[in-house]
Amino acid sequence: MIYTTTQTKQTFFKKIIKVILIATFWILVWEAASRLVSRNNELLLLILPSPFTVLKTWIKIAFTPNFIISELLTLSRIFIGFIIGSFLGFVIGIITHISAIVYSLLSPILKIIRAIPVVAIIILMYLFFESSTLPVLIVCLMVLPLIWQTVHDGLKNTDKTLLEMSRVFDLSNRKTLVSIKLPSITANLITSCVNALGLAWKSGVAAEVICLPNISLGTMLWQGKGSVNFDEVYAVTLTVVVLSLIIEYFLKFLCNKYLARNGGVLND
Amino acid sequence: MIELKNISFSYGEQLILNNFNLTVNGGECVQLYGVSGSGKTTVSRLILGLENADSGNVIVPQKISTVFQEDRLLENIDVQKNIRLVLSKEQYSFADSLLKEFGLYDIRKKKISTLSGGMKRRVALVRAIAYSGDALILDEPFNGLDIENKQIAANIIKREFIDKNKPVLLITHIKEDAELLDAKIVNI
Repeated sequence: MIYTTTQTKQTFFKKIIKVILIATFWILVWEAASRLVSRNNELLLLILPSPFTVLKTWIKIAFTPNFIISELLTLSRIFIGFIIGSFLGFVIGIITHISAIVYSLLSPILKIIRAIPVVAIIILMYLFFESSTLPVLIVCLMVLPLIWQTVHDGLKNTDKTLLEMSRVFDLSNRKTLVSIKLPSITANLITSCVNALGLAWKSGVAAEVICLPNISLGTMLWQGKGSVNFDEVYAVTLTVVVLSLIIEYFLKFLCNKYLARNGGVLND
Repeated sequence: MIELKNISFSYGEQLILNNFNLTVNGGECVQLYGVSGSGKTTVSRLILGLENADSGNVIVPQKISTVFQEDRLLENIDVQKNIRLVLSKEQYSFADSLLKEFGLYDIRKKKISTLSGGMKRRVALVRAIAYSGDALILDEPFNGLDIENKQIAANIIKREFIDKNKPVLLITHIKEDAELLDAKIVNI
């Protein structure tokens, strides 16, 4: 089927209108809930403020130097943790695929990390690490097992017929890994990275809320709660959600570009 | 020479080969002929070292070229890279000359996923021939090819293997394909 530019534009605008309608619906639900809760007791407006109050607060704080620096520092902590976790997960996935002994040694640890609640890990690690580096470590620990599992399982499930071909034509282990095994896991790996990024945001901000680095969005959340300034809590949360969605969108955009060139498409 | 002596092989409870013998001498093409499920592909897998016999001896050269029943090509890389993947640098120019003979040279930079079934089959044939093994195993090699391309492929196989005193084992139930290679028929 051939799509014209006009058709593509129409689909794009339809998508935008759909997003706006869905957002409007939920904002109205939020507004209704806020009015309902505060009908008998106006104090409850502090806990569930109107979306318009939150927007006003957001506009007030969004362009202050403190908020912008907090955003950048939180972003950088999450980004660094995500990159280190993904890289280590990828490398360990390859190593555990190659060596059964290393797999036996490492897999219990990685499975335990996945099973322990993130809050417990944060509290335990807080005993050993500084509050500014802990969120990086927590993000890394959340991302690593996910990527490791994807790489390890993907390599294990490579198309057997292609592996037989590589055996018959006497391909080296390096050639088999680079030309057959790794390309076969690309699509799953990209999906895992997108999922891991969502997890990175949640765990990174949670770590900041618990260990309170000097400047961070997590610290702002905690301070907002402490001073019963829930408008600010909602405004910061909104920022976290929007930043997370924007970064996820760009990651998906880049991945889809890559996959489209290589014959695959990432699911929404 | 390819030699299978008193081979027995079973998948679980099911006996596939019972005291099976086969000899393919250098410079000879043998067609292994039999109905579906008679164990033809199992014989090729035993020769290629992909299965181990329950009993008996398999005597084969160390380096064997093969065309599998399926193409077994890497879909996301181009024709030339698929072929070069299994070759040493010294074999590249030979592979390019084969691509020209098979009429594939102009599409050497196209991804396998964009090719037709017949084109993919020819790429699989070029890969096997360019690999220059000391024997050639062909499992339904001419699937999807028209008679003209079958003739071209058969002539090149004769020139590169049979004329060079290498054994060729052809697995197919199509007698016309065997005639193109002047194959001796062995029933299984």
